[in-house]
Amino acid sequence: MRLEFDDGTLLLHDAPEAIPVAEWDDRVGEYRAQAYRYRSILEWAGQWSETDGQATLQDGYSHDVEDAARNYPDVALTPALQIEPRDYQQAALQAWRTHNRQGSVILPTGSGKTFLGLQVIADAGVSTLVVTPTIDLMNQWHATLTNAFGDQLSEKVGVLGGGSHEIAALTVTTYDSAYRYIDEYGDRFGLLITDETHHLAAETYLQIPEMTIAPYRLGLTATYERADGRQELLEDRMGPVVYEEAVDDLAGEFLSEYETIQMSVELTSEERAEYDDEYQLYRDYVDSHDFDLWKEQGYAEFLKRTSYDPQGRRALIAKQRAERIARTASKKLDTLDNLLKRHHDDRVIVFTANNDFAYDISREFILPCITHQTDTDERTEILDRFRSGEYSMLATSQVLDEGIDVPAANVGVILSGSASKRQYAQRLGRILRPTDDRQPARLYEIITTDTMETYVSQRRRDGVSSSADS
Amino acid sequence: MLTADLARSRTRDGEVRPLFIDIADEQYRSTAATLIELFESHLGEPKGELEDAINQLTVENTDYKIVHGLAKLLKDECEFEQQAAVDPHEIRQRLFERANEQYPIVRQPTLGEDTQKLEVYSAVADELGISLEDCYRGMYADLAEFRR
Repeated sequence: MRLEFDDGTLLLHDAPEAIPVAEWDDRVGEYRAQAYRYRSILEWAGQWSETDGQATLQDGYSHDVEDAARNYPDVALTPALQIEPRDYQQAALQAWRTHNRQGSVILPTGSGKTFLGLQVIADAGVSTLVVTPTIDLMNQWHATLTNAFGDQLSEKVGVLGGGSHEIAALTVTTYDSAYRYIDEYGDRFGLLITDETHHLAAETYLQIPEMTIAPYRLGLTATYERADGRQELLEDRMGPVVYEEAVDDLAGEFLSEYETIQMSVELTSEERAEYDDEYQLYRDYVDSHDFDLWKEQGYAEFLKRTSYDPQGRRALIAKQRAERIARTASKKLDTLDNLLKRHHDDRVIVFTANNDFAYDISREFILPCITHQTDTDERTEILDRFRSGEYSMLATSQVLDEGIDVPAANVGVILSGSASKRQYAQRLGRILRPTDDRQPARLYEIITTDTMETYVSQRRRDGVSSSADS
Repeated sequence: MLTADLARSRTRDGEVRPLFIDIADEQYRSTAATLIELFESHLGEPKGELEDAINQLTVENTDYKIVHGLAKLLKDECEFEQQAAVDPHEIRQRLFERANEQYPIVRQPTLGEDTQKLEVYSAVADELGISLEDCYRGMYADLAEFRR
């Protein structure tokens, strides 16, 4: 049998009929399998051998295999800076190794996921593709890899995305670029590292692990859960969760102590009247139609109705308006005002859930502001200046939600957000970085009383409990 | 051109067919007329405000896809320009640099410091030789919603 990489799939020439995980392809008259089956096919044929071990014989006999699919080199690397891994990093590496060098590791933001990545690259000893959700993260990985391995590589660390198109033994890319090009380069890497790996479960991105033959795989994330329950697909493509360290287990030990302070504001009488009207409109519609909104099904049914029932459409808009009123309650700005006064000597990041509100705050308090509309250069510039201390405050909508290496702040203010545990944990993580030992970091959450937000906030705290709660 | 989310189609027997609207339909003609009027009344106004007005039209209209589709066709014919006396990025940067020296810049100032925000904006305006209003409006004039 001869294995060949073909546009993101494996073509199996002269495969025996007993071949598993492959399907007959009439167009070429050969068996074909998804590229990520590369390793299991070699295992089945008794031709798989670990970097440091013996060939495994799956069913007691072996098939001759000519492996023309593998197009990736071995790469011997040792991280330049020999930092002693922390206990949990060591444990995570060990767990990954014993799971056949496949699977995902869950570590809180700020606990050294990238560092673990370096250990894994050195351990696997093969060419590696690192996939990240954003250009910023990609640049960050590029810098880290260059620092750690640059001197040992015969070529620079490759970049695929953001205008560059270089493939090297170590290559960094974004989900979007990887998705576009993986059918071309899926045979060039032996190790696939996906950062913020929970994104990978999206249908399009799932093609990235599917179309690569990499026998070794590592997923990194601070939060694995997905609302859509697609983790199973992730596990099939990347391997199971092999190690998990929760926020609480690390807080106080490696991450600085922090406390959460919740502040409520009332709606103004004008806002209250509008809120109640809109909310009632929505509620009435829902109640008169028997949707069970607590179930996903019920909500989907509601959404479907809004596409043909004018009243339903109006109800949906009413819900959105009510949410918006609660989110951008004007008294939140008064409270923020007080907080900025109190913390004018600190390093403060203000989080909002929508761009408009971020820009309002930017103009009102003259704070540098980053949203998804901010171009890369300006974003980098603002973050650099925040890092260097030239700026001490920052307002941002959701774009910083991924584990960008945001320079440490000791005060966070959440002005609005959606009810996702994931977002909350990562936002927390960002200000959890050790700053100095003057005082614990503080996270303020400003919510609007007697609105849907009150429940959202409760759900959020159920996801992460802070050290201040105890 | 219509984007995928605005195009309507029907799939039958494995065949996808576009759903065109009947241009003689009174209802659509009236929608189109309303939109054209709306666009004309927003000449020279920020794009964000035009978008808000379009959204307002679809509040109780389940034909919102058609409203947005027609609006998209009109938008394609429009030009939106950044209107700023000075590069908005330059304005912002100077504002933030200066503001950083003067935090807290607050809304309910305690006695004696109630003009900081104004001071920052006017100092930057003077530096750049533009009016205070140009400085304030120009700060984010490069954002799509503030283009006119």
